[in-house]
Amino acid sequence: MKMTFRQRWDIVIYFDYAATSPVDEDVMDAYVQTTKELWGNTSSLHRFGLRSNERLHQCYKEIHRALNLENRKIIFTSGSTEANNLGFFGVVNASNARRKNIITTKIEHPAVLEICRHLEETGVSLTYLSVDESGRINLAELENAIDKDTVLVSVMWVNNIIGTIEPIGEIAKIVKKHPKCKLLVDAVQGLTKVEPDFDWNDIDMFTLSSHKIYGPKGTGALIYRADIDLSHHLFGSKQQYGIKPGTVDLPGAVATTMAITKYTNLLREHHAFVMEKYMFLRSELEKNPKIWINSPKMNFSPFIFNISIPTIKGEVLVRTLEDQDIMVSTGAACSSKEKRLEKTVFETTSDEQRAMTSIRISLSHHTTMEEVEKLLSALSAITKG
Amino acid sequence: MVLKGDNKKQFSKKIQEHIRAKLKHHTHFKFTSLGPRLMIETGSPIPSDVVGLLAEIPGIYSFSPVARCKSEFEIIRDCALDVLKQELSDIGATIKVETNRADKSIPLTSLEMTKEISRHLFKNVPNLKADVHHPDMVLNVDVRKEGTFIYTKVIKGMGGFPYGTLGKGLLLASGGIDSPVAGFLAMKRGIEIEAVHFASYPHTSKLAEQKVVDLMETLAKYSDTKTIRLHVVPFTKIQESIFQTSESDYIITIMRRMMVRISEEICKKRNMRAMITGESVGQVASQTLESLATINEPVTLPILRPLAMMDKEDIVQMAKEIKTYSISIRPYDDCCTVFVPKHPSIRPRVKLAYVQEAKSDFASLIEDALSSIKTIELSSDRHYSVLENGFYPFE
Repeated sequence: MKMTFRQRWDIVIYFDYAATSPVDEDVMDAYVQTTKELWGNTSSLHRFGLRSNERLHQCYKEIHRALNLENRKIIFTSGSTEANNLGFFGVVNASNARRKNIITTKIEHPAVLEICRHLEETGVSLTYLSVDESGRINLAELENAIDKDTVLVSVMWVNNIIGTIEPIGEIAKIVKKHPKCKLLVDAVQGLTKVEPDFDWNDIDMFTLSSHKIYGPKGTGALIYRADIDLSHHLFGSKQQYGIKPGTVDLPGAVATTMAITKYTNLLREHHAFVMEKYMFLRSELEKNPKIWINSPKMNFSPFIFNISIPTIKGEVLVRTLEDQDIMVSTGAACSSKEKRLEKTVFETTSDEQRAMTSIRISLSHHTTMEEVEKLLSALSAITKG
Repeated sequence: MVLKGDNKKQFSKKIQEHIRAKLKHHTHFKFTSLGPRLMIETGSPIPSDVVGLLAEIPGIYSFSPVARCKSEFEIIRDCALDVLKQELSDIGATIKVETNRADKSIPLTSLEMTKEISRHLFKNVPNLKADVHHPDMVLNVDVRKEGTFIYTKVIKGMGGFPYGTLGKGLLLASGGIDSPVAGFLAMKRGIEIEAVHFASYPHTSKLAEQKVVDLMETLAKYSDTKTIRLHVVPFTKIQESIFQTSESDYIITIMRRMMVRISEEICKKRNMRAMITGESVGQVASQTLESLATINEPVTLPILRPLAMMDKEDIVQMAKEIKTYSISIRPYDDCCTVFVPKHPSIRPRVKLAYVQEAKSDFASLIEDALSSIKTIELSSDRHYSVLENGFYPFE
């Protein structure tokens, strides 16, 4: 029987939560309610505007409370790509040093790497830290690389491809020794999923995306120490400290806030729930000699798991699983159309075959044991055939 | 349209049907056949889409927006002035009047008419100049029994032959730049086309299939029914089998031989007389003369290669003109790019091809493929979404 796309959608087994997640009902309700009831412009002087502005400030407070933040500026953006751009250019352009150096890792998301590549063309010097086979950076290498010219260190918290957790707390300690240097953490895959082993107040700036944590698409945030003066490269009115001018997307801000608070409260519960599925999936796949596991054994997020079947190209494996209504990914969804070699997998394994054949399985508190079993049997059938 | 020989009537009938179908949505249009010409009464003004639509009909040599009036001298004179005023855009333009009398009931000769009309025009339009050798505009006055036709523009049509008058052919469409251009040239030449696409899912994406669908929908506007039938052949098993059994330098040759075999079967079933491909001599290794000969060998129906002698740049230029280029360059692998060996043979031999083909039971694989073809009727008016329609054709 021919099925339409929509019918199929209902029976789908989704293992691509690191690409995007379905919107949480409460978050959606908050978004819709704000859209309907608080449509006043947060900059207006009348009570419609004042009421909206009050709600925006309430969002700031709620995020501060949820993450135990002290004295941070929160800029609501269109997502983490924009947040990273505002952060990078904000820091780099604010510094009038003649020589500027930025340190990042070789396994960052394109939202960071592409900015770095651009800045390199404009004369900023870039240091790309390599990672070990688990995907972690070497702290000694960072300590060596950082000097008086370094204006920014940018390291992701949880790698979006293999799930490695970077030693953010240690990195923060190193960066702190250099008062002119700021630390920017891409927290997209970690926030509300992994318990931080650091204090958010030790991080100068971090970025997040709403749709990865059950919020709507098109919204995210840049959160940074209030005493940092960022230069702005968007021009307009003075909303959001002039860094992100234009009328504030209050529904997006409310939804993002709701997603952060709700899922931060559920973090431990969800982490344990997902860890159980992860451990089962991992231990079963470790038994299969035809499958290589690319995710580390220590310091990992159980929400992201990465494997290679060396005989099948990643994109072919994605489609083969899709035929059984199982949705996985070859890597960052935004770039899987262009390149074939998965950069993170290549950096950690130095194996082209592995990097060409890797797939990412990303889990959620929605993932059931039954779904994991179906994935396992599909993978086992594929490796037998 | 002017033709010689016995086919004239049939061709003329066919093209008039095509024109009527194309302009069907203008329900008030009246069509009258005037020998090799067709007169379309559109009312005034002429709807803005008509010129574009006529330019998409194979077999039209030229067409002109025409004003018609009664064949009486004073009326003709005034009408000519109206037409001139509408068409004139530059002050100080030069014109030439040309009169042609099929109906001699008016007492003036053609030459006298030309003089009289010109005098009238110059009197009424300031700064107008005459130039019989290189005029900016030629005002044609065609005096006929049905009335007098006055026009200034002769718009070149697509040329070629009326759609379908040269029989039916099967276009092998990969999704690349060349095959849609080959399809277009075949259609222009009067060949009604159907298309075949070899799908290698899951080695290729569904978007590769969508690409072919979109290309054929773009070509469909040249067809008299605005439709093209697309046959999607499941090619994965054959391709995997070739990949496993053939020497790597023969993979492409064998693949192409399988494709033409399957295509010929489709042709036979659907009464088509030729296959059409976008191959161009020398473009890639599979397109050497030796290679083309080896690819041709298993079939007897002719394989037409309209682009055989064209340079890639010219093909690209034409693809841009017919608006298929931007679709063709979407970055999805197709069956011809996904299994490409590093060094394909540039002089494959038929004998060796048979040696490779004997290693696997291709006859039954071809049979299987033929029995699970998905046929889609594509139209330039409706968009077909591969994703919405059960994305894998063979489930």
